[in-house]
Amino acid sequence: MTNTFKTFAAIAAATMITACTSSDDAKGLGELETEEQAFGKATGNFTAEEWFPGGQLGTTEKASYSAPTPAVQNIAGMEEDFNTGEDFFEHLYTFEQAPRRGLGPAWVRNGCITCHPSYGHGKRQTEYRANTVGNGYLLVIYHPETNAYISEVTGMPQTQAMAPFKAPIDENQIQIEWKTVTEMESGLALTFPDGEAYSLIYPEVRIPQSAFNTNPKPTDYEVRLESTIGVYGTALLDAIDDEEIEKQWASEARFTELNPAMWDKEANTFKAAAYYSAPYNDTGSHHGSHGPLKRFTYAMTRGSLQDGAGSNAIWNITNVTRSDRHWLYTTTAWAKAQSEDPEVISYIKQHGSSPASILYPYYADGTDEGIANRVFEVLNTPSVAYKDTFEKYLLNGAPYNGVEEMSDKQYYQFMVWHRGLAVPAARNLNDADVQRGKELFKEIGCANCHRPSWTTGSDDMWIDASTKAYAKSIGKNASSMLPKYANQTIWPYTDLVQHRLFMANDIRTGWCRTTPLWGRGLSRRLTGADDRLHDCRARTVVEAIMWHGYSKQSQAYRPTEKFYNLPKTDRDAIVKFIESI
Amino acid sequence: MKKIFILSGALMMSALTFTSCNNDDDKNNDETEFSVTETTPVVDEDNYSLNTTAANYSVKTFGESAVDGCADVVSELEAANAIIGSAKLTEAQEAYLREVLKNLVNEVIVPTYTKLADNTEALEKTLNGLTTSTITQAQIDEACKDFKAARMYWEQSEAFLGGAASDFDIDPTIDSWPLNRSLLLSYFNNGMNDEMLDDATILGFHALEFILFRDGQPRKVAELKGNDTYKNFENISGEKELAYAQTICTLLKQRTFQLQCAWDGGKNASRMAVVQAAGLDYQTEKGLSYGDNLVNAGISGSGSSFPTLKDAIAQILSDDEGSCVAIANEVGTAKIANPFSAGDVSYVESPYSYNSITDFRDNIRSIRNVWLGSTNKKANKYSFHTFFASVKKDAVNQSVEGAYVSAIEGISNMPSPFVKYCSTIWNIAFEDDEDWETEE
Repeated sequence: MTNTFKTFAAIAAATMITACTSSDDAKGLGELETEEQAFGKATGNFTAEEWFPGGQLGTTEKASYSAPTPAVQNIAGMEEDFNTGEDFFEHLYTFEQAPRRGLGPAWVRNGCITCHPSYGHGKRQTEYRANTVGNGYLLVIYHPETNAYISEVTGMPQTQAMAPFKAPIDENQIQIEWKTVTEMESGLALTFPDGEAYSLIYPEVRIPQSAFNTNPKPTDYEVRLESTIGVYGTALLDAIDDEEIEKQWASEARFTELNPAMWDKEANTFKAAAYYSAPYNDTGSHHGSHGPLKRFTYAMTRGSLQDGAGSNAIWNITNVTRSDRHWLYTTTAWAKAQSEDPEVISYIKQHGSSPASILYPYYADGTDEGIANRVFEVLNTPSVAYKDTFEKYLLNGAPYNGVEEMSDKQYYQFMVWHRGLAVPAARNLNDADVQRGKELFKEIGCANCHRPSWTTGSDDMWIDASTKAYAKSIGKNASSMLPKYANQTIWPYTDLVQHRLFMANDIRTGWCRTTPLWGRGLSRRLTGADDRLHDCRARTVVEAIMWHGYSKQSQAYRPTEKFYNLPKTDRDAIVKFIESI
Repeated sequence: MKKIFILSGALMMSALTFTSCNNDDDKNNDETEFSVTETTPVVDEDNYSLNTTAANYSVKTFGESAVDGCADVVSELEAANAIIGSAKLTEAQEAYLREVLKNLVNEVIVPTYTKLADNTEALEKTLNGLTTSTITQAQIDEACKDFKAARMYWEQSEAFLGGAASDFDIDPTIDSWPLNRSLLLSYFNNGMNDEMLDDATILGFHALEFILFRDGQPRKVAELKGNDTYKNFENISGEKELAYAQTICTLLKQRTFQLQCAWDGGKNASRMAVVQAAGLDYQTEKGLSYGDNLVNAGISGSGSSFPTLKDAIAQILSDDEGSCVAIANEVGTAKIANPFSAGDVSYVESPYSYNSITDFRDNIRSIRNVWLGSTNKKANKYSFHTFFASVKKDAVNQSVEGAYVSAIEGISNMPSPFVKYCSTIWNIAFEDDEDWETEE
């Protein structure tokens, strides 16, 4: 590097000496000439549109995961709500200090940014620390025979709790061991035919039963990690019509097995379970007889961004309650263990008598028995069915006195931000290697699942009760208050279908939604890291690709085998293409 | 061989303008020599008097000017970056701009982080010298002075949060607010362990601020000798609070050392040892210092995370996060607008020390420092200022510098303290209480 620079500088210096001896003062640094821009124009095998992966309304020309879309900027005043909404994502939460009240009695993280460092993918960890910014892991604890989550702790398990409660899981006892693959099940060598080696690692996670502060404690379980992915562009995926996604599933069903929990093979259509509904809102009747098609999270558990992963997470990760979430993200087994813990009882007895104390809701009459009963009653409010109990003690009673942790307006602003995050523009599409990479990406079959493009529908989104209530309070129509992305051609590089890769220590159930590739090439620059796959096991793009060929059973084995056999220049071209889109 | 000529159109430039080609005044750049046009930049004053005129607290135009000033900084810097971004740079221009980045690292970023580290270390030393049995008001005042000095350099670093501060998530780690007072209280009640000190909501500047300041003044010595008087903290002794301040100041110091070492590659061996002992990262994923990562932008094989020099310049000037534009935008649309325009006083970031206006001003001064490539208000020979002057685009300097000076003046003219100003505008009872109610 240094040599290159010196040569460069020497040329520059020589130029300067000329400039100084000349009487012509126009020399020196000279004036600026405008460069012809490749950006936004058709080039090679790319159309002009492909520079805008999020379409005209959903792409930012900045190298950014956090910028607002033109759909936000085009509407007067919306960017102000976007900016305020962003604050809820970027900053950490407290128990009771405005403007960011939340947490307690148990929580997963103290802020959104903790799991989405610099708005990007989580970073690979060697230990599980809830307070490490960049740790995007959720613990996935399930029974291997049924793939069902254990019921003793919440589906997204909490390792933090406010004193005197003990966190459902003691994170000090969690062990993450990174193992190295010594042999691919598929028989592919760990060296490419041209001699270049690659190495694959994967996590093995153990949590001893003693780490669980629950009664009963779980048995027969395994643990996996699932990391966050970027947040940008999710509103564009939300704007794709259900019917378009169904067509994609139907077309793939002819060639491959699809997740039977989602797809009815006989009827060649989605099962009822593929549509989202929730007992606490009217998502289930958004399309008359059913709700929006599930499309978010690896397991495809959520549809409609307004009740999607982020909407849910601000409630159950940071425990920020709002008007449509008047219950706790807890379990009966945890409530029982806490109510039976003498240290919990004595601490509340000592510190909970003042109505100003955050332990006051648990104090009851101040007797051991009264406190124990009240602890169980308040903590055992794990669903909307317990709304009245929650409201009595954790909303209307002291010290909360009726103040929501997040107001309807604040939730609306949060959703403007969430729906308003732009996809970064593509880069280097005029580069010959990138164009070659695009050709190969299609030719060897990557694009079969990493489907390049979709066109969004009319984006008639489901609107949540909080946004509606806020709209009503200011006399506006809720359906026109959130950023919309109708009829956009977008380039996310996902088929929105779940596939199985049969990796070592694979994701729970084995079925995982094809991850969108748009914008990922900026990760190292914007977040300082470039870890990939659901548990950050891949440290490079090549490792991510080769995990697709770990097993011959993998639905992506054939393309991976072809990638493996490509010459290095072609492998590099595919990587460069993936880093440019 | 120095040749002086008059540059036409340098309307706002008061001092002499010359082309510098000589070697004798150039200490840092032995290998390169550029013929540049050095002009005098427009800068802000060192000091502004506080606006405490009673009648002004209800006047909205002060806040509006500050917000507008920040918006102008955003648009002018975006325009400046777009000019570089859309230019077909000559080899000389590109080599010069690389020198600008090098100078920025050596003359602005590293010195700012070094001073931040120096002053945090001084605060730690002051705090560690205190014991509640002998503590005096003068000692508390001294600690508060150290705090404000450290705070100033942190705020003056926010135009370059991109890089180490962003990759190592420094901002949420040392500048989280509001302070989670209930968590802090329960820790005081329970005793502490190392694990508890992982939670950033009770660490960093704002936790120290709570221990050291109240109502904009240094804490009263009597409180630290006895018990706190803050709501719910009445049973917490000054001794516990002081011990806590000492502990978290050490953690803060480690993070400031981390920033310095990450940018300069660990030239200060003893600080590097502290960083390593604390298990903190100090290099990019490719093993570069952040200074080298920036300066080597676009150089093939260097390992820089920037594919091109223009990408690195955009990160400095106008990227959405961690740039000059990003901090100007945050000051205008969030730090000022949330309390002032939207009427939510709970968004006032420094509620115990009343340092908000100073903080905002220092944020904009960090932009000035980046633009001028210096911390002394003079334009460095290798700076964005001198670049635009030399490529005959002095209008860019006039626009950018006019904008940051207006923003600094607008901020400084707001009635002080900021929390009182916003409370008055929105007719909210002005008191130092956790429960600032919004009125909408």
